[in-house]
Amino acid sequence: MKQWPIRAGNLSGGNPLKRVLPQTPFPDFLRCAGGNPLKGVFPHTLVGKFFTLSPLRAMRKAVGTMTALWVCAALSGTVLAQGGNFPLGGGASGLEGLRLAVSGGVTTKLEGPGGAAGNTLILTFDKPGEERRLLALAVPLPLRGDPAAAKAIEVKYRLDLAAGQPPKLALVAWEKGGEAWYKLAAESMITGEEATGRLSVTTLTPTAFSQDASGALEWDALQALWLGVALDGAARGALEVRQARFTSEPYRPQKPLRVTGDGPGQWTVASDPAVQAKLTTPNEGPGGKPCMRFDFTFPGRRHMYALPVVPLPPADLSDYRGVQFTYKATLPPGIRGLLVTLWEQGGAHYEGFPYPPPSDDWVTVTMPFEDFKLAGWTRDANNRLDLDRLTNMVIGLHGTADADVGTGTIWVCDVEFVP
Amino acid sequence: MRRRQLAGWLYILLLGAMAVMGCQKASALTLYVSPDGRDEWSGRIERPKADGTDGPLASLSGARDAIRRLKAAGPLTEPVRVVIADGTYFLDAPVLFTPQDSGTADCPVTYEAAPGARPVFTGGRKITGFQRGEDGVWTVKIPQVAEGKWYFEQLWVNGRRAVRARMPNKFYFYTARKKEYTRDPATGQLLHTANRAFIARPGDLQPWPDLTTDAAIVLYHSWETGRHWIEAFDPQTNTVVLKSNAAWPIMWWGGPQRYHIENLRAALDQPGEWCLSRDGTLSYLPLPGEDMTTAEVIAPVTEAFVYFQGEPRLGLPVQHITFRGLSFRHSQWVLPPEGHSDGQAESSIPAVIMADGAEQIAIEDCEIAHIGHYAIWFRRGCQDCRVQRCYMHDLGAGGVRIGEGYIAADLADRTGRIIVDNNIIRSGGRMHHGAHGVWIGHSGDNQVTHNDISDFFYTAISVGWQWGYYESLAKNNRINYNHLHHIGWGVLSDMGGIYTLGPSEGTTLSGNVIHDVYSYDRYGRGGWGLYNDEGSSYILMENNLVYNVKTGTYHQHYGRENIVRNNIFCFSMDGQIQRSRVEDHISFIYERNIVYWKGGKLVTAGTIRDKNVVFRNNLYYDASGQPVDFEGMTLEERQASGQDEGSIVADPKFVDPDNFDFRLQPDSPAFQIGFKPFDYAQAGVYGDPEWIKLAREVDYPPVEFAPPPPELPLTLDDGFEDRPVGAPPADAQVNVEGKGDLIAVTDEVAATGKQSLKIMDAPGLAHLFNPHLVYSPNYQDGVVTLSFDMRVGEGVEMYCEGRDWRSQPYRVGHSFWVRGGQLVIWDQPMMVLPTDQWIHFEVRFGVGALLDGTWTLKVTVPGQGESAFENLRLGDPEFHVLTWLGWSSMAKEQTVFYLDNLRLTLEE
Repeated sequence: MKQWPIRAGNLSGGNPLKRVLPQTPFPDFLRCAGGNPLKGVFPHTLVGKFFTLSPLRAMRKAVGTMTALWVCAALSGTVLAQGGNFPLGGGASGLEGLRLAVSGGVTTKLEGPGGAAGNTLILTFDKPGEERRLLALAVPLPLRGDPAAAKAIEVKYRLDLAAGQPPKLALVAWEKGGEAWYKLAAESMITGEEATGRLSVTTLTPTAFSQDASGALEWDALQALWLGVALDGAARGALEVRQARFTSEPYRPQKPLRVTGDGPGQWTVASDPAVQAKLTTPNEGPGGKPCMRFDFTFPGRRHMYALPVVPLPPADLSDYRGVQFTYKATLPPGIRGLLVTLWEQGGAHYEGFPYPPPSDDWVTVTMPFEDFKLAGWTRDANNRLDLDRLTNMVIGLHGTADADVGTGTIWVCDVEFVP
Repeated sequence: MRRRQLAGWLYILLLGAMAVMGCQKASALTLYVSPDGRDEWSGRIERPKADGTDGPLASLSGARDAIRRLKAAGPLTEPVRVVIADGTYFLDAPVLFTPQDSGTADCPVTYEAAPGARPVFTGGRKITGFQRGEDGVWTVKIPQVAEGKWYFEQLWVNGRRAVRARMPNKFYFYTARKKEYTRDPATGQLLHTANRAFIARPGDLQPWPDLTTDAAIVLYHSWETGRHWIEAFDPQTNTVVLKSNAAWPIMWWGGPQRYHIENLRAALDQPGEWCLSRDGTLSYLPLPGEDMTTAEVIAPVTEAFVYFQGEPRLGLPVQHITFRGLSFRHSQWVLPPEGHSDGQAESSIPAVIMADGAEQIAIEDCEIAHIGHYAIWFRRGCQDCRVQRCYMHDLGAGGVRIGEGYIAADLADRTGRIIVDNNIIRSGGRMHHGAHGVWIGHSGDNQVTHNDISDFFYTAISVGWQWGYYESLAKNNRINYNHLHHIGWGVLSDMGGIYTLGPSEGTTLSGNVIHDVYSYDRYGRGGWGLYNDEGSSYILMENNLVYNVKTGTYHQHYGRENIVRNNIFCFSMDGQIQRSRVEDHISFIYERNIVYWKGGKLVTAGTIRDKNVVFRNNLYYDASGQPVDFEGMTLEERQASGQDEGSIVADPKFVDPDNFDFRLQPDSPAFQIGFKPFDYAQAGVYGDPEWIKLAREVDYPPVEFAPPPPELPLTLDDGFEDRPVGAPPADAQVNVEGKGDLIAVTDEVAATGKQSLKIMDAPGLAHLFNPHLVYSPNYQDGVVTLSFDMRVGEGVEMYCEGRDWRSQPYRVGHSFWVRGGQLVIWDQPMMVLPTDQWIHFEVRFGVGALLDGTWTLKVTVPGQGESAFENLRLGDPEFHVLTWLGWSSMAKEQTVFYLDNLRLTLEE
């Protein structure tokens, strides 16, 4: 929003707008700040004057009228939304009208905007228990723009914690039909400094209690919208929100999300009983870094499977593009490549295609999520890879070795999700 | 003065009135629900107004919605009681409670029965209009079933679960043979059908018209059963093909596998049975005394009753809601088209009351009965909930489930601190035999105490869901003072009164009384009182009483540092203690226990001799008078080896062990070992005498084990054409070490057709007799004819032999070797055999009544004609029947021989 360059030093003690817009054709209107505010906007006065003017002057007056209206709207905090960019709540900062919706039993105090809080909104909280709780503010409705055109919600804030761990931003949207959708940030908020948090609004998840939630959130059926934080564990602090708005700029993670961390990862193995396997984590990765090493031998000529499994961090991966890892692999003849699967909570497995082929040299491969398909050996009620509900990942193999015995080795490191 | 006095009294009265009003205001807001209520009424009054303008609510959901309207006006300022009048309320769909339905700690919401009432929420529908047929079968047409809008697999007549017409009526049918591969007639491709096809025994099945439309098959595995629709039955070959795969290959467990067929019209032959056909005909054969014109017949419609659904990831739970005194009955479960075959614990079966993201939910004094699922499941993200004094019975699956079968990465998704206390959970597994009374997955800090769990076909309480030593969340669970009994009934296997899995630090199993645990043992693995299965570790088991079990009072498969202390273990049928695996760490410490039995072994299986298991200060006694055998050692010898220090063999002097009074007499030698008596009468439910009586009033019959299946002779005619290359042969036991040795179908050479069976030896095998191939013919009486083609390579050393292996040592019947390029019989070279040529062999001999002590061998070498060797002596005069037929390669280097056209018959 363009900021009008009003400078206190320009004020002459009378109507401050007189100095700003000296050429306005509607001096009566512009006296609204110092006199009868309605005087300048009596429609018969404006209309009457408009139709008595020459076309050129009429045009000038029209432009001036619109400018004046826009200025008034700006000063009153009503800004015409531009696409998906508009404040979340009232006021320029989008904070007006936000009220406490749910505190989950957390002791809270909400101040501002205005008063001692100034232009910010300050939410003070004291949570004693270990359980996760949502602390949320209800956004005044109707919204000031078209949220369907927005890609994310952006929140400028400062979080100071006296105790506990930083929460995660959360958004909950309630539809008139009873369905509710939410978004929980993958990463925790930053503490002790000015920060900006973003939540994608293009990939909301239906809540567990949503009846028959299907498709996506219908913004035009919005009944309530909450913006808040999910607090884990005991925590005490203050969240000062400077601004909250919808934005058409999509949320993108800034960096990959590591699966294996700085080390080789916590791998386990699932395999056919006939497989003889050994999983180690030696420093045999590129440059001597730690990696997962999986040596296997199994009978040939019949189907076998050998699956090194690594758990995934609890995060909503909806805003990531795919999975990437670095590997080397020697596979027995008949096994075409690595089986890469993502496991969902609930048991569905999604299989990545094409299978990364064997390689004697280290190779880094990126597998987009859209290349993962439901594996033939599992079922999924919604037939969709739920990127907010992944639990484990497999980089292994299955198939039938051509020879009587199949042997090989797989090395893997640097497993991560990429934006 | 009088005015002042009057004013004073008025003032006091006013204060009092205000005080009373204030108390009333602070006590609770009450809403009423009644069968004659309406959900559009306020629910504030108990009885409908005469003018019909207001009255009680009509339903659970109506009450819930009324509370929502209250909360919409502002937060609750007082507790809310929903008082539900006596009567029956139909639930056509589950009632969903979400965070908006929550109470608070100060203002909880309670849904409770009115004083003296027992409101029943039913998911069933009454069926009336039965007509008697000439055959005594009563029938009624159900249009919704005919229209495909309804189907059911459970029926209750006068409150009793009726038996779905089954064949056989008692025990089982048995499979005859595997059907691992089937050729697709359309494409000629070999399909892998090991999990969905088998050969039935002749005469068991007929091509009944409803076999593939209305009937279902129940397959009995080891610790589970599976249910499937039948795709096809070929009466010519007795081949049965299912519409879906079982969880395991059929006959995976070894030997004939059990099954029964349900819902066949031809099976409707016993009073109390019913069946339902797709044309809508419901047929029922009444029990004596049942009047079908007045009988209450109910079939289920609704699958679930209540969902508590919060969103734990958001920290938005549904909370502070109590159900008290309500009954939930009659829930639906229908076999899906893809069949149903779970791996363990019927883990995919949900509950009729489900909770996710729930906190401070209490279910008290409720009844859950006549259902197709589990009763209650605190699944994901639930904390601090409880189930107390509930009566769960006639369950399609089991009682209570806690947590999930995997470790949720998000801490908020984990469940814990659930209390299941003082409940009666009875008669489960009515449809899903592998279900439990209580199941705990990856969940910790739970309390399962003082429950009475009985009449299940599988484990009463299962704790943990991790096979091996990997991470488990099942820690700090307290499984104490439960009465667990009449489990198994000889139906399933690999069970315990209490069964555990995985690392379980802080978990205790104490003060429990476990008895009458009986498994099916012809295949599968046993029934134990306390069973620490894979990876069970760091569990304390003390002050338990276990008696009358099948395979051992205590069993550890493998695990670490469990403590078995101060228990009373009595009367296991097959052995008292089992330790299945020796590891390089301490398996368990077994101390101050009393082990008492009458005849049989102390150690069922495995060993307790090594240093990685600690036995000390125990009392052992075989009341049959036999000396106690410690794996071939006396106690003194065992103690000299370092085990059982401080232990004694002595009569513990129970008060009356034959009548299960295991209190100790004052002069019991058990005190010498430091045994501390405990009051096992504390186990089970407590409180109201009527409640205790309900738990105790049940009287179960003795277990009846199924008789062994009749032995079925094996007939072979195998050219190995109908199996894929690389597969093992059908109907055989293949013994290879996986070190380059092999027995598999091959297309390298064939006597006829394209394929044969390749047996390849390799150097460095652990056993000289590997690889070897075995068939189990079970030939009792008649003339055995065995013929096959064989092609031997260079250096082959092998033998073909028949054995009577009904006992150890086995008795050899026929036997011949190929060694050094020669046929050798009883160490006598008989003829030169060429290499790399197909040679035909035929063996004949009598068994049973036709046994004459001799056998005949005919060998046909291409270009040489037939050589016959007659009146060869059988190997052992005690050989009578053929139970084992094998080919064994005895080389020490890589050698290969092939078999083809293998035929084996018995002429009776």
